[in-house]
Amino acid sequence: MFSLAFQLPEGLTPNLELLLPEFIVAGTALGAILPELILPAGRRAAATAWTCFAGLVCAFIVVVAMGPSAELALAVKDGDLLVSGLRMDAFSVFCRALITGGGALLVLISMAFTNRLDRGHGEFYAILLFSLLGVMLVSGVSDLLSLFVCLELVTIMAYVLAAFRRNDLRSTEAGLKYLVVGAVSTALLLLGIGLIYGWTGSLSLDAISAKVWASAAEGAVPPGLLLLGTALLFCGLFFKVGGVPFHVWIPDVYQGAPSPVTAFLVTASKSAGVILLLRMAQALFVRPEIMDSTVHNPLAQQWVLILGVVACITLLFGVLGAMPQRGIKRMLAYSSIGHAGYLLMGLAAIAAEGGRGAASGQYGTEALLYYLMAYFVTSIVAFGVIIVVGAASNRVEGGAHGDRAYEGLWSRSPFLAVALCLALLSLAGVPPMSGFFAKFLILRATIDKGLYALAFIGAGAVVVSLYFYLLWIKSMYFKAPPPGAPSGADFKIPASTRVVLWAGMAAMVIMGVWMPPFYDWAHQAAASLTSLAGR
Amino acid sequence: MATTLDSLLALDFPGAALAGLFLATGDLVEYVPVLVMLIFAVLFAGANLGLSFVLGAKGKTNPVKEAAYECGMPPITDAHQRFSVKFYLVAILFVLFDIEVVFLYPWAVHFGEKALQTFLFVEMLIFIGILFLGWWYVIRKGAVNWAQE
Repeated sequence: MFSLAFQLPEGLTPNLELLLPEFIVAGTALGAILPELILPAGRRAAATAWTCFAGLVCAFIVVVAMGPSAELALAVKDGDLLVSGLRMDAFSVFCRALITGGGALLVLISMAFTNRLDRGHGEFYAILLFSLLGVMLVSGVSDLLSLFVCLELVTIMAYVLAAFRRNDLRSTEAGLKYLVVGAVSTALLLLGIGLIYGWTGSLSLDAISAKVWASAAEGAVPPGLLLLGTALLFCGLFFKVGGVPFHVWIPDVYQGAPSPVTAFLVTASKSAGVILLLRMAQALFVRPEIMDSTVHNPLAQQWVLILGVVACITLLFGVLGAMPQRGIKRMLAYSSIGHAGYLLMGLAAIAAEGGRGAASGQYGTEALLYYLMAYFVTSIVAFGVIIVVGAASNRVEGGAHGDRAYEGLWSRSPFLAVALCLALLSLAGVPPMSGFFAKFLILRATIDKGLYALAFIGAGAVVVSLYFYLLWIKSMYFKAPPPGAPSGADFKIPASTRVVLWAGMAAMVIMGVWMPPFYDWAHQAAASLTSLAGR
Repeated sequence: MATTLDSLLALDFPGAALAGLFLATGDLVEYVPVLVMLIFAVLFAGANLGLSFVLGAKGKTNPVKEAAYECGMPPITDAHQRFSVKFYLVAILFVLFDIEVVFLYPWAVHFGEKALQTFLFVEMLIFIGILFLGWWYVIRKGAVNWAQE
């Protein structure tokens, strides 16, 4: 790592090099508009995309190089940046590796879409990278103000991306709906931050944690102000992950937005919400090391119930809503709501630990991180296929993303059919795939904390969701191709998509069969988050 | 003070949580002026609207009275005209670059500190570079090209 040669003002710690990956991504985002200014029209798309890919891979390498170094671990111990707004612990290193690595894959599958655009390559990739930058910053948030700023960077960029095809009615509708619902939830989030600040007198997550537990140690009932504040804050975050009742935007926006943008919303944007939920759960529910293990946190006890109920409703809504869907993107949108339900189940398990005065939210946190990793890979494979099929199936009855575009896909393009089939199986949580182990970890965390009813509903939802995932697989393999459907060479699969699909299929199987290294990463990242409590 | 809130919550009357907002902790006493200001704002706006409703002469209208006021001259066209979208674009670009240039002032004020001059100079070069990139983008995209259709 380089170090900054010049003296910084008092109060600023000179460890800006911890933000090097962010600087690389921001620089790449600015560089992404250059090809559009310099190069002739025909070569812009590829040049822009490959610039972004290179930038994200560089950032990924830097993040991974940061990860295990002992020097960084030391720096991280007091590694607050910009007066405790951001913290670069091992948890944030894990999340940033996930975002930059996943972002690079996202850029690769987006090429099949942007190659067909005649304008706006620079804008698309620059906005995408700034949004990814926001998610990277979100992973290091350590106070409520930077939480808000970083989350808005992600969200505002995502509004623009959702409406990217501005001449397309559905895309404009998606952008507008996303904006309206997003603005309301941002207002709730901000009010929640204000109320929490009103009670604790501090924006720092550590100070909030200390105050919550000090009040718990006195045996006081959590005041209504704090309950209301945390409830509003969580509402704003439920919007990001798609928890009921803030899920209403998901089906329409996922359907209307361009497919690469939907892939971004499913993966990176959702991760931002999950990462922040973890940070907040960590601050509010998890017992700091200095506290006695006999102290029970009444706030966490109340939140177990709320999170458990919201998780159940979200899960059932997603699974039951996905059944009648005729479009693949809409089906995946409901499936994504269902997955938000599992993520909230893990969060309820973390709250349950705090409520009983247990050591940490370790099981729940590592389960959520593993889930994110598995879900990231799976969704990127699924959308890699959807982008290619959607581009070729314009003349199929029911539209490019309708169910007929996927009938008999096996006989038309075995490669795409196998990739989508594996992705759907992984989403369903069928054993040899990565999604199975992710769901297993979530269920383990809930059962370990005695949330049997929640675990029962979660396991039941897996069985129910198999029904509609398998229906799509059946239609791909056993139905006759519809008239006018593309086949063989009609699918223009760019080399970039091909590479991502192969790598993604391998990753899904490896993560499900030989999970120790992946589990260890999630475990270490979770341990760094849970052991830092109350520093 | 926490007990005040508990008793309020125990009462469970509508608005208890809101009342608790201002009574729960001693820290919030600092915000009482904000509350007072809020009450005054609502009263002032309400009083003005209410007074003009009560005191104003109603029903006595004529076409001249309802016309838009244009310096005493009779209006010649409808005030709701449509502008070319280019005006909005230029206005947005102006606001963007204007706000960015505002950052130069705090920078200039602190540039005198000898120990930080290299740091500040490099920072400003980067900032100006980004600004220039944006300006170049705007020019190349034809955003200020007035004649182009």
